[in-house]
Amino acid sequence: MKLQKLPLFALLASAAATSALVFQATGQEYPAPVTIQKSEVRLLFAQPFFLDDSYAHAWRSDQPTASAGYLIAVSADQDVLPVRQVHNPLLFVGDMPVERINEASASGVYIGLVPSAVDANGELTLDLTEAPIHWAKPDVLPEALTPAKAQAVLAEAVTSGAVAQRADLVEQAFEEAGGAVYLPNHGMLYRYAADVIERYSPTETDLVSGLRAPLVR
Amino acid sequence: MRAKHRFLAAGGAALFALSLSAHAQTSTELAGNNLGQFPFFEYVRAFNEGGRIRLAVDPGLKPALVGQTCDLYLVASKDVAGWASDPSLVDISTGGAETFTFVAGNIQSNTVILDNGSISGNAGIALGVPFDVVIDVNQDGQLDAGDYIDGLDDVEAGGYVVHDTTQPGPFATSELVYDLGVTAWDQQDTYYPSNIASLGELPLIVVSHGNGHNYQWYDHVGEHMASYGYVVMSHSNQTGPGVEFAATTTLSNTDDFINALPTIGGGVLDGHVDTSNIVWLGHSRGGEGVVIAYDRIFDGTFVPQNYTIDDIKLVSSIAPVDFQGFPNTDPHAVNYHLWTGGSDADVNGCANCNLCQTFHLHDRAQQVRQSISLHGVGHGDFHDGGGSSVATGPCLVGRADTHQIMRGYFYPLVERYINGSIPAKDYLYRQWESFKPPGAPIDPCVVVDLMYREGDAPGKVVLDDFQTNFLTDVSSSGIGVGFTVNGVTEGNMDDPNTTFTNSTEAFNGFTVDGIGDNSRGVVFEWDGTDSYYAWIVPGGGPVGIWETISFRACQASRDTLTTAVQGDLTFDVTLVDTNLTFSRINISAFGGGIEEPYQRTSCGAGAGWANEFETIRVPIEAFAHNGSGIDLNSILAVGLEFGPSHGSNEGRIGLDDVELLLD
Repeated sequence: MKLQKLPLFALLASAAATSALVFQATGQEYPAPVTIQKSEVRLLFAQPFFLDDSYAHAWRSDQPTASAGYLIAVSADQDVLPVRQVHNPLLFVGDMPVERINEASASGVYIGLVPSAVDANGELTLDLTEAPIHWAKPDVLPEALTPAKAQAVLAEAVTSGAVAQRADLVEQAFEEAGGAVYLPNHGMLYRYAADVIERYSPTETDLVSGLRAPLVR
Repeated sequence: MRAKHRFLAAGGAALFALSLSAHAQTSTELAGNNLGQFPFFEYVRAFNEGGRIRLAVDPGLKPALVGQTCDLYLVASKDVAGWASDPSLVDISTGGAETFTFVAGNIQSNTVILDNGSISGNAGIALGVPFDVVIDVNQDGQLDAGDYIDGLDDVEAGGYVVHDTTQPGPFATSELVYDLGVTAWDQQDTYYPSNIASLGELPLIVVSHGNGHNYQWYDHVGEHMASYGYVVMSHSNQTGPGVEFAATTTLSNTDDFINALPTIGGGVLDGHVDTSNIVWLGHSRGGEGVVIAYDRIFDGTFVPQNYTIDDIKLVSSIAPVDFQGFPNTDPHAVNYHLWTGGSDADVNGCANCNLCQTFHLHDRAQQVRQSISLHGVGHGDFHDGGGSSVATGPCLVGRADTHQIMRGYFYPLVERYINGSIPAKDYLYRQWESFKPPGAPIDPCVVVDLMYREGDAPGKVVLDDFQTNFLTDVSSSGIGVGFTVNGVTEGNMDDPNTTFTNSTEAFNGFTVDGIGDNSRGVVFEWDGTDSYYAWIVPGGGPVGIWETISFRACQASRDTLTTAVQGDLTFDVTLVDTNLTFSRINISAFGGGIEEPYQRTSCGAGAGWANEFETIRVPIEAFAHNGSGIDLNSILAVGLEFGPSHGSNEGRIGLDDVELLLD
């Protein structure tokens, strides 16, 4: 304890007379613009999937309903692969963001789902030999990415040189997959994807085992 | 024990007890720790097992004891009725009761070791073995007229011996990994006591992981808490699309888990989950997700089928992002808690990334809120998935030590809000330097800062939170403010540009306020000259009716005055009475000071990361120790004094939430 009697109280009082009204501007966010990632993409695996139950594709704000599409695996550069909590580079097929399944930074192989409509013949309308597979980094999360913005991303990507995969590579990717897969629902598709992860990104053992957790019912 | 007010709270039982005695005992604080400087003693709730328990009496405040030879007892705690029915004193410390003659002079001369650490802290799954402390004035071995007691209360004992909370609890644990099979995002990893069949309903902790993480990466939380009688369910979290989907996954997994209890593990958990006591713990995108989830229930946009908003007792976010901001990411009035890693290379807290500033969520919480900040800890250190710590900066702590800190802190945190544990509160605000679990890492790189703010606690008075009355000479409570410190500026605590580079910006380095928020505070500085910042009560006020002065303060990162000190910042908390008697307690008395900013570079030029608040609580009665002469019932000014006569020679700080508490 420091006991002290000081003639400070007058000073306290006089000091209190001074005032200033100060406003501080609130902080600004500095979002990164849509950045087209010129990272090379090579399609390794493409498997058409067909589900009994449709699901909502959560990676675009309109959440298009899908019951079919492609399970794909692509090789990509390390500069786009690590997953972060902030904005991540997104892989697009055309104007559709791919639903990412694995982390991929160790293997360099990204695995995901891209929905497609189905034509009257039961064929997928999304043509992997026509739709560019490209990276972009929008300034919003996928859940907030509007179709218009996704279109703008595609247009900018094409302007920047994004092109579709060569037909022979697409054919090879289909051959790697060995034909379409028919499953009950989105959940079972994820479970199935564990096999693909194990094949192309084998160090992701926790992800694989997690997807293969025994069903309760 | 907070004697005055707890005694009143005991209500009818206390009155009954008093009626049994013609002359009541004096209920007062007695148990605590000695300090190396004024006020030379602190009364606390929690005592680490193996540590000393002391009794102290300030002879000036209890003059009737001076010259008295008394027996000092440390006894098993009793409630009021227990003391009334059995007033016998049975000492539980090594060597039994002490006999001591109180002397005039100071509190140091009247401080006695009651126990050298012999009392077990083993309370099973609970935290703390309660005890009471008695001064048996007439030495008759009974609690009776004229005696002094710390712990005559139905709620709070005189103190608690706590075990090492980094260590597992008494139960062996089991783990189930399964897929509910409803959606793509309902795989779960659940931990529970192996003997759950013999237990009743246990509180539920739901863990929501971050983006790119995995639901199986929280064994350190799950196993630890299950060993203390919690059911911990960690679920796969749909973080990829964003935080709104993460929130949906938290909500649906909590519901689906409860719904599936009859089938999970063959029904082993069925009937053993207390769905009225739920904790949500989220990491990164999941850390924001749990807050959004709470907000959705609050707003009525999601209606859970198997639980209600009142069942969510605590929401805790680990390194959360803040994509949605206010009002979507709003904890409202839930008990809210935040973890921040100073080395986080992902949700990094830099001024150029608003969504990376974790403290926004903390400052939005309207009621009880607390945070733990860990220098040298990266984003990936909070889970056990291996791989990178996602960390950058000096003196990295690593995953093992981070998990040890998490275990030691999370268990008391949850106990506080699930079971109302009283000793748990000490873990939430006492300076880490002076109180922490014995098993916490000792590495000098481990630096921990704690914030704790009460909610609308009974009797709490906010002297100044800077949210209203923006003139610098008027506090938010309307009380006048005087100061001789320099550069006093009130405003929103948000760095206005994209760097922490030292500049003339008043709020450089602050990150607690975000877009759409309104978290205000004050900054000021001093430079080699004694100066002060004080709240003035014309005519004087009875500050002595409160127990504690609480405030939060931080150093201004990279400021010239901060780098000149490059260490903990210290200053005096000062009371001045209407006789102009000053009494000062230096904040260093309770361990450390205001921590220096973590010396991380980038985010502009220089070293020092975001301004990191920590809470300081100073007991008011202590200002009267050792004959200070202060009249606590006629206080003219409550102030902070800075400069060479009061601690650090220079410095620049932010200040907020200056409160008087009955606790």
